[in-house]
Amino acid sequence: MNPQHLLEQAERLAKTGKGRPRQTDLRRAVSSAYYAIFHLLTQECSRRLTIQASIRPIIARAFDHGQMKQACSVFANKQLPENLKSIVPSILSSSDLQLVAKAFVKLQESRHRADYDTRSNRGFTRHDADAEIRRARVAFETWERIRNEDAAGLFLLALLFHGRWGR
Amino acid sequence: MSLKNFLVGVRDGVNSGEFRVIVDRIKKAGETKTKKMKLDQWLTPKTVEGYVEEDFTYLTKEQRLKLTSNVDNFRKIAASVRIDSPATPEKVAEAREPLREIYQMVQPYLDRQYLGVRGAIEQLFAAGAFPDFVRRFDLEVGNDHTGDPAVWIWLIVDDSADNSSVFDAILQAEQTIADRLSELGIDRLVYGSVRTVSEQKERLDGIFE
Repeated sequence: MNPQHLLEQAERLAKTGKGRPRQTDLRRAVSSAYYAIFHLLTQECSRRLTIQASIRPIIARAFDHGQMKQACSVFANKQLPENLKSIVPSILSSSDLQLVAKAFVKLQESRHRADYDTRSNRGFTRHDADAEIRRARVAFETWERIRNEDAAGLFLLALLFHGRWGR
Repeated sequence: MSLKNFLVGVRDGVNSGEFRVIVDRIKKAGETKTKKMKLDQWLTPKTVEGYVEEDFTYLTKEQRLKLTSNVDNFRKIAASVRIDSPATPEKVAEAREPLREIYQMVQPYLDRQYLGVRGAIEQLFAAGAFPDFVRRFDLEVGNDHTGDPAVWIWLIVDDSADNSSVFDAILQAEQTIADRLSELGIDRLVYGSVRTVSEQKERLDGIFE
C-alpha cells in the first residue's frame, strides 16, 4: 500500500463530479487521507525496526489506531515523559513534529466521522474535505523534511510503544 | 447571549421541582398583587426567551422545525396562564410536554462546559482572533471517538475565501482556541473544520446527501 497513492486517491475523490459532490466521495476522500498518513508512519517505523522486508507487514499490523492517537496527543502537546525529553532534547523544540502529530490526531477523528458518523449534520462539504486532505498533504511534506531527525525516530517508536515507556 | 438565556431558561425550567405552581397572593394597599414563587417561574414565556432556530445548527432541518414548534407551543400555553391566579393542573400538564421535548432536543448544548467554551470562543471572535473572511462559527462539545473531551468548531467562511487562507485559519483557530481553553482550565481537544456560507445554507436546508 503506497501512502502517496492513498493521498492522491483522496485528492481525486474530493474533486469527483460536477456541482455538489456526493457525501460518499467526500467521506471516502477523508478516510483515504487518514489512511495515507497512517500507512506513511507505520511503514516508516516498520522499515526502521527490521531490514527483513517479509517481517515489515507483520510489524505494521501491530499498530493500534487508538494507541497511536494517544502517542500523537502527547507529542502534539509536548507533554513527554521526562526520560524521553532527556534522551532527545530537540523533541521539545520541533514544531514540525508537533504539526505531524496534530495532523494525525485530527485526521483520525475526521476519518471516524467520515466512516461511522452518518448524521447529516456531520456530513462533509467540499471545502471541509479539501482542508482535511491539505492537512494530510502538509503532514507528508513536513515528515519528509524531518524524517531523519532523532526526534522523528523517537516519535515513530512512541507510536508502537506508547503506554509502555514508563515500565 | 440570547442562546445562553434560552438554554439556562429551559434547564432551570425543567429542574424547577415537580413542575408545580405556587402562587402567593399579597394583599397590599387595597390591591391584590400576585407574586409568583420559584416553583412556577418556568411557566412563563421568559423560559424560552432568546430562542433562535438558527442557533441549533447541529439538528437536521426537520428536528429544528420540531424544536421551533415546541417552543411556539410552550410560549402559547405560557402566555395563556393568568398571572393573577394559579395555573390550572391542565395548563401545567399541557406545558410540561413541549418543555421536556425542548430539553431533550437541546441536550448537546447543555453539556456543563458548553456555555463556557462558547463564551471563550465568542470573546476570541470579538477580539479579532480570526480572519475577516470567517463570518461566524458552529460549535459542538462532547467526547471524541476515543472518549477524549473534545470541541468541534466549524468556521463559516466567505465563499470567496481561498483554500490556502482557509486552511491556515483552521490551524490557527485550533491552536488559539486550545490555548484559551487551557488558560481557563478546560482541557479539550479542538477539531477545526470549515464550511462556506453557501455550504452552510445548503446544510441548514437539509441538502447534504
